Amino acid sequence: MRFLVPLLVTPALLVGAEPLTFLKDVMPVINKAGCTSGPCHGAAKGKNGFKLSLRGYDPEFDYEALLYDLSGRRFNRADPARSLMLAKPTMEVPHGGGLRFEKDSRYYKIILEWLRTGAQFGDPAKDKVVKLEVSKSEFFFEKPGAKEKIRTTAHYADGSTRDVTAEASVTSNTPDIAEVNAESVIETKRKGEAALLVRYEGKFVTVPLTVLNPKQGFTWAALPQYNYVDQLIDAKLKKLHIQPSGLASDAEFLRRVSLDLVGVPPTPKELRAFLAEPGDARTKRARAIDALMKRASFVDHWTVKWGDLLQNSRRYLGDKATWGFREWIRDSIASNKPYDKMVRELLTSRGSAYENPAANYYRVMREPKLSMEKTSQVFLGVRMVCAQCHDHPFEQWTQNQYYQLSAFFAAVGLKPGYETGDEILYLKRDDNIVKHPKTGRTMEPQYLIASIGAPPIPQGGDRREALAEWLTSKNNPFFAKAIVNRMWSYFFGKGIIDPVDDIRASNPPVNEALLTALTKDFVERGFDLHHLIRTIVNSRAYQASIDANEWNEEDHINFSHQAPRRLSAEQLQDALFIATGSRPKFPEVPEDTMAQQLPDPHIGKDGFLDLFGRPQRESACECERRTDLSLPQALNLVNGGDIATAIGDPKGAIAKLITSGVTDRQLIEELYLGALSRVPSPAEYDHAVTFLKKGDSRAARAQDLLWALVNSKGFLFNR
Amino acid sequence: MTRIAILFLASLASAAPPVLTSLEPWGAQRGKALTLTLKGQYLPEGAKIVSTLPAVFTPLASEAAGKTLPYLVEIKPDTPVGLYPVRIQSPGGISNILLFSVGTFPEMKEKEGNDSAETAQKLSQTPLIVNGTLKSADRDFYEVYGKAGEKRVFEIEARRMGSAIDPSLRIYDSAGKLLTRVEDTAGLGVDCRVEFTFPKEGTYKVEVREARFSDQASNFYRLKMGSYAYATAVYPLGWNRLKDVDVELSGGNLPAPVTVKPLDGMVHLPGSTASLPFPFVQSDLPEMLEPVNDARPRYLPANTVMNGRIRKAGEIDRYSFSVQEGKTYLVEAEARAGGVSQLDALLTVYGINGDRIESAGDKPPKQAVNAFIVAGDYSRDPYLVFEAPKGATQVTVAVEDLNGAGGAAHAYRLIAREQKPDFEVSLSTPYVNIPSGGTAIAVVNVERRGYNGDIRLTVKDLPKDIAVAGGTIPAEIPDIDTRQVSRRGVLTLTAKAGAPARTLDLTVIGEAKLEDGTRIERRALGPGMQTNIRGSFGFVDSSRRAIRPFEATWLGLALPAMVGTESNGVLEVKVPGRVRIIQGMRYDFPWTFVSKTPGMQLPSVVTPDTPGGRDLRISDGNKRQPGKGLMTMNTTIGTPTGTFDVILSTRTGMGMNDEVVYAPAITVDVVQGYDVGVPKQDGLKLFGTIRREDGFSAPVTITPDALPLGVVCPSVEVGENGTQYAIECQASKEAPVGEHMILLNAASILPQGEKGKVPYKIAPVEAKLRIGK
Repeated sequence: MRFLVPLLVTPALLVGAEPLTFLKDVMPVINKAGCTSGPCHGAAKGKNGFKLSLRGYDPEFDYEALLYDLSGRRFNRADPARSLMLAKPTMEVPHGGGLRFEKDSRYYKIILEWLRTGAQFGDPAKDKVVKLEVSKSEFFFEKPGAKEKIRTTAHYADGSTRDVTAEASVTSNTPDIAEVNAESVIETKRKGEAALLVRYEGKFVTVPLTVLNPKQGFTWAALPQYNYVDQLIDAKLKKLHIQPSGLASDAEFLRRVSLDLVGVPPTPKELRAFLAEPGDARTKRARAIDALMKRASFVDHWTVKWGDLLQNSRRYLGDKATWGFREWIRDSIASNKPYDKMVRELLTSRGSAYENPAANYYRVMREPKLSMEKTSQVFLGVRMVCAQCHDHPFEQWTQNQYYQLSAFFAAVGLKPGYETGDEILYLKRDDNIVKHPKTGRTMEPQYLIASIGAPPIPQGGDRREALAEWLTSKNNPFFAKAIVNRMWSYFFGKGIIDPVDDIRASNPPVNEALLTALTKDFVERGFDLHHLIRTIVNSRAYQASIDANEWNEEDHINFSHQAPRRLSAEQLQDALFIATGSRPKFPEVPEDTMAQQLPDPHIGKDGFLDLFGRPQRESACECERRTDLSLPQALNLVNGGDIATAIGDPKGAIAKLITSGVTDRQLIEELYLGALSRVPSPAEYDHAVTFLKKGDSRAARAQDLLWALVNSKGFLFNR
Repeated sequence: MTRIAILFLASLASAAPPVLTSLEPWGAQRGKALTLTLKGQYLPEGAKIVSTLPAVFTPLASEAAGKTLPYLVEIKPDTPVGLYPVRIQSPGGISNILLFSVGTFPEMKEKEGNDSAETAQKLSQTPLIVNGTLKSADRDFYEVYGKAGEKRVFEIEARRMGSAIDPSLRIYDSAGKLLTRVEDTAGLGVDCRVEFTFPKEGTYKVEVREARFSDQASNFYRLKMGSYAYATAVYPLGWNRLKDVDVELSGGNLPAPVTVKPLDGMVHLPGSTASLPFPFVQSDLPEMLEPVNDARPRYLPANTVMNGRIRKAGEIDRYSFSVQEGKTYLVEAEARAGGVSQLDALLTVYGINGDRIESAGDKPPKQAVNAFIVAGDYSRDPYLVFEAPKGATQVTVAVEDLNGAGGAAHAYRLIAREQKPDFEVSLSTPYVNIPSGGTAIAVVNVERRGYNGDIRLTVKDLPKDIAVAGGTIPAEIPDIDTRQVSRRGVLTLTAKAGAPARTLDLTVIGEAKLEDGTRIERRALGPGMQTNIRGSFGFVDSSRRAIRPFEATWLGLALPAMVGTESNGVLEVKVPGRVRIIQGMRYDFPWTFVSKTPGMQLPSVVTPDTPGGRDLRISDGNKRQPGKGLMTMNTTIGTPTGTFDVILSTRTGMGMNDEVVYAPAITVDVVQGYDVGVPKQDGLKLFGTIRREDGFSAPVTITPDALPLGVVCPSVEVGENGTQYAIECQASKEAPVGEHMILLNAASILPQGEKGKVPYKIAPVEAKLRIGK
């Protein structure tokens, strides 16, 4: 039969006249034809009794399924051309998936030839793709409307290469900037940046793509660069013909940086003092940053963020442990505990959760797989959950890795403590392994990726120690990067990689040089979070205005200007206390406890805080904290009891101002400073003075004015 | 009760049993005189104080009759530092116990208004003890003065004294910077202590708060400040009560270990220290100290307490223990649960080849695995039961810390012995007041150790004018599928009308008969006192969950009791003390409340308690009216046969003035409605009898089953109230000759309850059928 081969297949398919193999020749066809896709036979339960691995991640399984399932009915050994695996996709027999390729197509011929020549699986040592190469490492287009084909070459384990452009899958993460058709031709649509994901046989490569602004007349106007953050942002902006915005005003800056660092806006007194402070903006702002970071409220604010991530909630921990875990977080932040140390303490925690609150970390998940998923998502920014059932479709993570990484946590045991509500974390001597769900094999722990200096994994004992050492190593390419990216997002509303806990090749950073530099600096400074925060907030980029110019108005990803961010639930509640001068009165905590000092979502449940998106801490995803806007929120702001009670507080700001005998202008200024952290404009003064004089009750009018201010964007957003 | 001496006797006035809610103050400096005010309910003037405190109590006039009892108290100067029980005895009965602390420092009271650092209460004196309270989400601030380098111990006594407060202490500098924070301190339970070194001269703020900001009814604390010695480790943890032993105290701020002798179950630091003593276990067994620096294999004799210590992290103490093949043994450790040791003990028994036979201390309760912690759960010290393997003559018992910790405070007591099926009993009722002519209850909990059968509770040497009823703890089924737990029993104690008022020390006994006929008796120890602690919100459904109440078992009390004056009334249940109920049928308990107080509002609700009763429903139906009603117990055909108790009670009065009135327990036997007797045979005719329970008259159908080939035996119906059955079988020629085991299936219907719905079947009866040639 072999002499027929040249008649049936194109020469390109017969490299070196080697027999075709499933691994090298057939699998790409099946994948490209869509047979292994999620909606078809790659679905969890397959389709119509035929199951293939999702996107062909498990060639051995697929080979077995095609040749031997249904007693081999899919392969007609006597007459390969009548095999079901050919009759179905060509619709010779009815096929729910429709026509996948024609009988005279190249794909048909490849499969037929493979069947005729013995249907060999292939040798993984030779036929596996080890690397992909694309025609360009970066695509740069001067204007929209351009077209270019991207060519893909596969490198195999035996050193051979093959042009696989036809079978490779190329997708754009922003199709309205650049589209890629089935023939791998890129067509640019509008200015901006996108990433192309090129996939072939489990390997992938990401290629950045830029389409420049076609508008003529751009001239780069250099702005002061406060630190390397500005240098690296400017470098990219200049290349993209984007002119960054100038600095925000001092008042805008102080409100922004106060909300971002200590969770509350400045009081009128603090704001006046800052505005009156002499010196250049950069110096006085740096001083203000240092002062804010020394405040107890700095610790409160960041405790909320870590409480969210670590899911500190009495729902899982009981109330005493929740307070204890909060104190542990507070101590870590207040002492600026090096981040790697903090994570090591969490990951290797043992003993009573009351005595060692770090052990509460494991009390939330309670089993190895969930512990692994949370650890990788929070500390590595990697989502492993897909790999529980199959190899990750767009990533390098395999199902084996999912269970190998889970195995590090297999020995974590919990038993009740000696005090009610406490639990003791210990290492189990029984029931301390993780098995692969398909093979039933015991999975030995393995690091997600090899990194320099990773410690050997011990056979027994606490293998979390080794994991913690590997995970927090400065050589781990994810660990430092993930937290740097996450921290960045707290100051700009989005990460350099976004979402922040989904770091993968197909989701590249918008400014890799920036992320790399910040990460390097963070590691070199001993995983110093305070230094990282200072570096970011001292940059001009952070201090930039939200006002855009004609060259950056459409830029929302390169940090050329700041973006307004809705205050978080706690910020909003505490800002309301400051604006109205009312005192916090939450149940079950001492009076004057601010919203950001609450230990968990139990307190004030179903109230104002939850309405404005306070997370219930049911997941470690940043996405659980909602910053959207909704009708119930609007109604609450307009007509809710929380606002009305705060504004009408008999010991609040308005009552004090009125009884102190201030003038209208003083009253107005005070209300503006408290609510919006700025003095009113002349027009606003005039409107407000007129308004105050209209009614019988000056106090009632002042209340209405304050109500209007707290309902304005200036109050609701961090600008 | 031997620890408690009656110190003062006065005239008796009030009828209701007294209840103590607080003391003011909660402690005093020894050698000083003070006014001690007891607060609570039903505190008649002239009531007796019952306490071990070496002091003279002189009653003073009360400004709030019935609610306060002031005394002038002169505490003897040589009174050992410690906690002393105080209770009241009045005509109505004895009160609960509260603990009074005697120390060496001057005392003062918190001045409210100190809820913030700005309004901190200034304390110029040192040393000092401040008696304070934390109401709900309260924080108390105190301002103290310290010199640079000065060391001072700050300690809070709260839970150890029976306060429900779980205290937390913080120290701030004058700028408000937190310098130290301390919560649960090793060896002090949830109480806390820190030795603080003032970094510079100046004022400091000390904050006391409740760790959960919970709102507790018993919310007092004592903040102790001064330079005093304290230890954190005791070794050994206990000894034979009749033998002499040196006890080593170490750790804390002691420069070197000190050796002392225990005194009345307590170990005191020598000298004039302000430290509360450590409780010391007093046993009746031989005791040994772990051999130190002895290269020989350690041997653990049976029935001997080995006192050991895990001296350093990672250390494992191993002992050889002699066994006999096939016998069952118990190994038990006492460590952290006792409150003094820090050892979270892990016990492992290894065979001669090093194979692990059994372990304890390293397993959570089944319900806690992969589930959220049950709020009421807590760990106890481990014990394990194992069967000696084939051919074994000795095993190795290993003791270590679950997480590999070690140190001077990691002491343990280890005992191993042959284990026959056994159980332990403990009282959860700290004391009882039995109204003259009325009834009180005592609740007993059982810890089963291999014995799952019935347990009978009784009171030893009960006076003739007191009757006991109830006390049935049915057998439990440990099978994982049909697990039925039975670990609680209730005894009712009824005093005859006119029984003279007096105090009693009652001893409650749990009795059981083992399979081999051996009878075992176990004595129940009481909690001494109890403080209920409001639980925690959260845990999945956000409801409040119970927290283990504070108990003071170290008081060594069993069941202090008093026969007091009559109660408001008597709850009468007009049924015999023991009744039989057929499975699936109903039983009515008509009740009447006989008031002894003219004009009182009669109760209309009666509450049932059926400890050990399973698959039944008891309700007060729709015949409820003031002063009388009908409780109805409904069983199903699935209600297991067996014996349990029904305790009915009602509540009279409202709020603080209410009283729970009990009826004597009624013991219920749930029985099968009928039995089918094994038949006799005449030719191919089987005939026998049916034994019917009184009240069961329904027809019974008997259907032979598992018949040999070629044999036909028709079903027969035995008519209403019938007691004889006869089955005419027929055998063909193919029927095998010989004697065959057959089954007689019996079914009926119930005359009430589930009548007509579900066939009432009983277990098949095995019978013999002979086929002749």
